[in-house]
Amino acid sequence: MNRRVFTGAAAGLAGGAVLLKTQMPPGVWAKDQRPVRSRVAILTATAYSDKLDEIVYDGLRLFDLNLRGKTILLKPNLVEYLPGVEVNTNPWLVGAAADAFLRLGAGKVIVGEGPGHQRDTQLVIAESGLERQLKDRRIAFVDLNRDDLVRVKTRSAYTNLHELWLPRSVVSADIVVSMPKVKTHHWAGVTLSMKNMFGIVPGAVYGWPKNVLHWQGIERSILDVCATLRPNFVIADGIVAMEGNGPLHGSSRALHRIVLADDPVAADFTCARMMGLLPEKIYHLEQGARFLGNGAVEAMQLLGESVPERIEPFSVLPQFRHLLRPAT
Amino acid sequence: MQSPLHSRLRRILLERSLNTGGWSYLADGQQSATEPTALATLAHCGRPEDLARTQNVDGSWPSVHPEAGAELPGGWSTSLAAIALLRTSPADPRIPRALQWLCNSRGIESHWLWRWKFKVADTQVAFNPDKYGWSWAAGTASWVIPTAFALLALRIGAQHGLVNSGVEERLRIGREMLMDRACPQGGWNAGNSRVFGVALEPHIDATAIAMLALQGTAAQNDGLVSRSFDQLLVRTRQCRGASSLAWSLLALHAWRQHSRPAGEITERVAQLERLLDSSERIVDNSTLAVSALALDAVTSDRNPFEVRR
Repeated sequence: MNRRVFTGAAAGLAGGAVLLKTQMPPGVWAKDQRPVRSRVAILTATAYSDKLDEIVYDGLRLFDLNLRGKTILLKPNLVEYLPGVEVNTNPWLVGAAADAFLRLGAGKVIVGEGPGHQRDTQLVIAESGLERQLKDRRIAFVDLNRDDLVRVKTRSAYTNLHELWLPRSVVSADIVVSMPKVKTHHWAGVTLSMKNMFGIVPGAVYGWPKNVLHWQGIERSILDVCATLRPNFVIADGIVAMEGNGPLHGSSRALHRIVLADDPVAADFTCARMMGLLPEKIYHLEQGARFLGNGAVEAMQLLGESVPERIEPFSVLPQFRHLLRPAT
Repeated sequence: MQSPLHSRLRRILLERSLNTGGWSYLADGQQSATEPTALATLAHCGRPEDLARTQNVDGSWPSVHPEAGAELPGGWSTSLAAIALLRTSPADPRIPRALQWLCNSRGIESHWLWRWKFKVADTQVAFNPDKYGWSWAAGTASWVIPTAFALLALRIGAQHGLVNSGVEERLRIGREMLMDRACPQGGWNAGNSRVFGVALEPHIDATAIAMLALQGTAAQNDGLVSRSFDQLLVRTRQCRGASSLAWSLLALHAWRQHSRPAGEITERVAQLERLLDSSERIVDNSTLAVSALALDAVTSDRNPFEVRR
């Protein structure tokens, strides 16, 4: 859980913070990483079960990825275990993704996460059910809060961090797959594939929670983390999502969809649209669409289903009502 | 008398020590980290010199020593390093500088500007910014675990006459900060008791470490601490995390005079032994070391986190 601070606190005086947030100067990122066209697949999945194995496998085949011999790091969203509440990326989906990548020729699949709240990572993976899935499928797990570190210069400058210490397992993976749970978020509006990348930042250096990032501004930090280590692929868990006071205390919301994409921004724009929200009004998505990936529908190739036409918007906290898509 | 499991844990720890000295967090890691090294030193697996020589010039310890020539700024793990040296090599000349660094370190809400802001504008997280402690990293807010470790280090340092009397005020505010950040039902998490009006759940390890910091203080008679003790007992009955369980055993042992949890301790030792049977649960060297310490505390009455009067 975050201790809310001035946005851009570390950037200097409090009075300048809002200005900095809304008027980021051009040239803040090192390289335009947007692909010419992004591919997104929305797939129906109604339950967490072994049926996900075929759904994810078939979904991945649509992308015709070159996985031969590659090391894949799956990064689910594990926050903490709250009995009866769908807070974390469901272990069935993580297991299905691991299986699918291996079936499609990947040399190695590892699952990595650095929970932001709980220091006892082993406790979270045991209680969440992920431990069982990993054991059954013989998939290795790496605690990203405690992995060996590599210093990486940030590839955008939304924060004053300039460099990040990142886990070796993530930096050395050939393909990093962000696997968020589709949720509203009481500080950032939504937590999707980009926000999920907070979990690669090691708690050993940045704390539990990763308070250094909070003081730099949560959404700015999301942008710097994703610019520096842009996830190559996304598998988002929207089978049972969360609305309201996410990421922990919201209500379950069945979307019955998973979203696959080869572009994190495209994935997050699509998920936000499926939540009945306006992605272009979410700061880190709007900025991400300028250099990290594609937000415009015209720049996306839909490989699966379309965003449903009739959507009951997710409930949001009052400060995020401006994100709601107006009724048509 | 050491149990076979305790001996096994120490043997694995020794096998995993780095050629360069110290321990990495993970079994296959190559970079020395302060937390596992400090805990292994307390478990008498490591030499205090290996820990001492990684101190920063300013007296602090970085959490990890990632590469030659890269010195990360010091932070929360300074307290653990200081505790380890105080317990194993109390005459080490590096200890006073470490304790001084801790005395000078404080959560950013101790600054009037942030205190004002948290009181006036930023009130979604319920806490009293007048009660500050220690942060994970410089320039950020106070949190429960770094505050609890710092309180322990300074209390043990005071017993050795290594801190001046002015530290009493920091200890008092730090204890008050812990009480302020406790969950309404008792126990602690990272340090948020209530966010957007919702009471948050306590975590086992944070509760245990905060209880260690509050042992033998006036707070032990507070109803909130009693409820926290109850939370610790209830939440560890089916605990599936070895690290959480080991920290809980250290706390239950340190509170044994006050709360007499003998039967509960025996049950949790059995639980810990079952958990440690599984190799994937001892990938983390900190978990290995703290488990060894917990077993040693309950079998041999040697608890390095106990602050005896």
